[in-house]
Amino acid sequence: MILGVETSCDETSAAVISPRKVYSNIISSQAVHVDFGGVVPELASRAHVRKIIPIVNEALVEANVRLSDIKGLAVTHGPGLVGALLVGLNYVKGLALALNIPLVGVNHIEGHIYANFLEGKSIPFPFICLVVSGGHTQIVLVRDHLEYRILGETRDDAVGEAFDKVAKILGLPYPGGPQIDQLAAQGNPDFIEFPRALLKSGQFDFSYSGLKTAVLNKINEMGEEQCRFSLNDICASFQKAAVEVLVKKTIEAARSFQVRHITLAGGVAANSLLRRWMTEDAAAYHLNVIFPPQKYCTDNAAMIARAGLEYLRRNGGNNLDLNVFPSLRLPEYQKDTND
Amino acid sequence: MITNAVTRTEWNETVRSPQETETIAVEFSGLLSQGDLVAFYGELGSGKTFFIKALCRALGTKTDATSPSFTIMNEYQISSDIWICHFDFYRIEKEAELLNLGLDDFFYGDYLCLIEWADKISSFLPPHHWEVKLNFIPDQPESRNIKIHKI
Repeated sequence: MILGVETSCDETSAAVISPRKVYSNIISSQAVHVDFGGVVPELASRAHVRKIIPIVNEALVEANVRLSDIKGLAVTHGPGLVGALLVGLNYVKGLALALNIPLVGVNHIEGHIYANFLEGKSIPFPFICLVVSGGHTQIVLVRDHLEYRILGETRDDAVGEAFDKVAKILGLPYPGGPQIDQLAAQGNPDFIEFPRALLKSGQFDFSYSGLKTAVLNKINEMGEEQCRFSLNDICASFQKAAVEVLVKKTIEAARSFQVRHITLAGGVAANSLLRRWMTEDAAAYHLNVIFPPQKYCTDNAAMIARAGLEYLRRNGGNNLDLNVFPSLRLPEYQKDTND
Repeated sequence: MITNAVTRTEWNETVRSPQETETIAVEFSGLLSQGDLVAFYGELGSGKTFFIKALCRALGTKTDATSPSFTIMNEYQISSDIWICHFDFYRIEKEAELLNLGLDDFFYGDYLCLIEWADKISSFLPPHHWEVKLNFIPDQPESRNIKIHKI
C-alpha cells in the first residue's frame, strides 16, 4: 500500500492506494471529519501545515490501515507554490525516515495523467492525454509508463483560467467553469463568433488570453442590459470557442502521431460540451476516448500515489535530498528522429 | 550612430496595438536587473501577462512566460544564476493568505520579481520598486495607456 500526499496548491490531500484499489482519498475542501480549528485561508502554506497531519490521519483511518502497513510514499514536488510544496515534501520525508520506507517525488501533471490508472484501470499505450485545468493546458503523448512528450501547451492563460475569468467578467459566482457550462446549455453557441487562437494545422499550442479579451470587449460593446439579456448566448458562444480548439487539436494530435486512444485529465475534463464534442469527433475518426472518474479529475492525492507507485516499481525511490520545483516540467523522453 | 543623451526611465503613453506595447516592454527591460521588483496594476484583460511575456522575451528567458493566475508563481531562468519570479495574486482575497509563504525571500532576494495584481498584496511590497500601470481607453478596445515609473 502506498500513501500519497498532495499540497501543491489550494488543497491538502492524502490517499492510501494499492494498484487495484483506492482505500481512501481525503481532500481538505471536502473533508468533513477533520477540525482545522476554524476557518483557515485557502492558499496559505500555514493552512497546509495545520491540515497535513489531520488529513493524513483521516486517510489512514478511512483506509483502516496503520502507518506500518504503508510500504511506500509519493508526494507532489512541483509544479506549485514553494511554501505549499515544502509542507508536503518535508512531512513525507519525516515519515520515510521514521518508517524506513522509500519516498518518491511526483510531477503534479503526471498525477493527473495517472488518475486514469486508479482502481485497476488502464489505457493501452501509446495514448494522448489532454490535461486541462485552472493552471494547465497541455497535450501530452504518453508512449509508455512514465514516458511523456509534450506536444503542445498554452502560451498564455490556461483554459480553466479563461472559464473562470470570463465568468468573473459576466458577474457569475465562483467557480466559474460549471456556471458557464450550465448557462451555455440554454444558449445559442453561434450568437457571437469569438476568435479561435492558433487553430492552425500541425501545431498543438494554445492561447486563451485573446479569447478572454474578446469576450471583455464584446461585453463592453453590448452594454450591461443587453449583456444580461443574452447571458446564456454569450456563455454558449465563449464555451464553443474555448472547447473547439481543445477538441480539434487533440484529435489532430492523435491522428498525426497515429495514436488510437485519447484521455482527458484535470478539472475542465468535467465540461459537458468538451466531453460530448470529443466523443463525437473521436468516433468519426475511429478513436477511443476515455474519461477518468469525476472525483479524480480535480487535485487529489490518489492520483499522485498512483504515479508514485509506478516510479517505485521501476526506479525505486528518491533520496532524502529531493527538493521542490515551482516550475517543474514533465520529464520528456528523448525524441526519435522519425517522430 | 545616434544615441539618446538620457536613458528613459518614465513612460506615460497611449499604445494602439500589442506591437506598440511590446516596444515599450523591450525598452523598459533595459532598465531592469537582478533584485528588482516590478508591480503591475490593471484590470482583467488589460494586458499585464502580455507585457510580462514581452518583457521576459527581451530579458532572454528560455521559455515563454505564461499566466500564473492559478499557480500563483512561475519561475523562468535567464542565465545560470539569474531567475525571474512571475507572481499573480488574482485569486488572493486577503493578504493574510500569504503569510508564511516565504514571499520576502523572493521580494528581498536576488530574483527579478514581476508581480501581477500587486494591489492585492501592497503591504508586502518593498518600499522601492517599479510600477507599471495598464489602463483601458474607452471605445478603443485595442488601445491601452501605459504608465511606468520608479517609486
